[in-house]
Amino acid sequence: MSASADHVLIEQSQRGDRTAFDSLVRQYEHRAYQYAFRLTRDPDEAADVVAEAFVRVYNALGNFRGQSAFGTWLYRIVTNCYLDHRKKDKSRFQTSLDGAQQPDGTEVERQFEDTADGPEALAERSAREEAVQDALERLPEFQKAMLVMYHVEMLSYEEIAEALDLPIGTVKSRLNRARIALRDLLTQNVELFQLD
Amino acid sequence: MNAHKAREFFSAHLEGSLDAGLTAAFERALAGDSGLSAEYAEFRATVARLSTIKDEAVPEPPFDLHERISARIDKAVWEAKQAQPTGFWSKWRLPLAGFAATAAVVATVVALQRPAQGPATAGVVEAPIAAPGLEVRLAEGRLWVTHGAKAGTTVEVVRLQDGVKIDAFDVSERALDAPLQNASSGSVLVVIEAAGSSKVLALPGTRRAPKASGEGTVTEFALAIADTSGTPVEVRAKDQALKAPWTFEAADLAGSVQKETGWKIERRADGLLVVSD
Repeated sequence: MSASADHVLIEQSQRGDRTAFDSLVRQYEHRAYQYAFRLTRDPDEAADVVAEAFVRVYNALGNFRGQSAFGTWLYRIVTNCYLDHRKKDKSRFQTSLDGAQQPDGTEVERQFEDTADGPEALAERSAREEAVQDALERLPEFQKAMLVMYHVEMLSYEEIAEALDLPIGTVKSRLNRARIALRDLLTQNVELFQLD
Repeated sequence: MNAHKAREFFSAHLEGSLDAGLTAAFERALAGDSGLSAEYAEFRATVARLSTIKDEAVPEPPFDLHERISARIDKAVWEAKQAQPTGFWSKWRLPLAGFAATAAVVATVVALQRPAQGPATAGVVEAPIAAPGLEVRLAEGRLWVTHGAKAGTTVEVVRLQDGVKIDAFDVSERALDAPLQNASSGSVLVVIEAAGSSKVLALPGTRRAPKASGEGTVTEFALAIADTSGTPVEVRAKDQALKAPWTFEAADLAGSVQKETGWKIERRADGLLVVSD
């Protein structure tokens, strides 16, 4: 959605137009869900986080002055909802990492690159990817959120700084530390961590 | 450059954002420390691995995601409404949210002298011609509340800052005046309601606190007028949520109009100030 179309819906929503707000939600709920899923690795938890995030958006929209893009602001809210959710539910910290699951319990099939590699190489790559996910899950939530924002959601340093209301220098140094922490976890599983 | 410092530059070197001097120092540090060099190689591999995560398929959102979101918002709106006080004054509380900190120190000091029962009693003015609805007037240096409501009607005075009901009483068949007083040091906002009529008033306190300018809603503007002039102010503005800056340019506030908002201050024949938009 274009920034100007966002702006119109936001203004209408700020005036109490619930239909406009619903349209805004529809524009962003999918993307918010994908981000929340990357963080939670659980469809139900991701849906809860997204629903809570949009409640916060609804309550705080009157204070949104357009200093950042709406999407960037939404990232911040979803991240905070995720962090709050995890604080409340520490028992979910060690989630099952056997793979993403559909609501009916079946696993999502991972998409593999169409390469000439044989089955062994593919299995090894799958195991490495799972090792990265496993290590990500073990990171502090805030570090994990920053890595997901940069490497998965492909936000720039500036966008992350805006979303988290941090100086860019702080974002860069924290991301560096998060990557180092991830490296430390991965090197604990040396067999799967082979240098190319 | 020591190993600890070099680690701080892992990402920057990988991205090529270090200047020539730092790059050279960084690479010398790697060359002189095989352990650090191995760490950096693992770091580069880690970042490369991270880039593969985005290719992972994410399941489609639940089919009812939008309905779940809408239901949560509906619930939050309903819960917020349940938590608010009901009645006329509830809509005035929203613009006062930012005022709560200073208003919190005001104790229940606004008193309404109740109409005495029976014939002439000290403090009771002989009943004027009963006016329909609710009226306020300044006389003898005090603010009087007149109500022509029928017997059995309740007059309520509520402090707007926190919705606390300061006083309430039932009128008798005679319409009687009741002076309204604020014994606190600062101005307070009250709403007086009876039989479907209501008045919002800023009552000055015992101390003057003249202000030359400020910013806020029309009710905060009225409080500033009361603080500055020492005169009660009736608020008749429709838009209570609008926030704007204001200035008091003349000693006599009456007759002035705020440029940005059109808020007008007028003085009635009895001396009461009225703010309207």
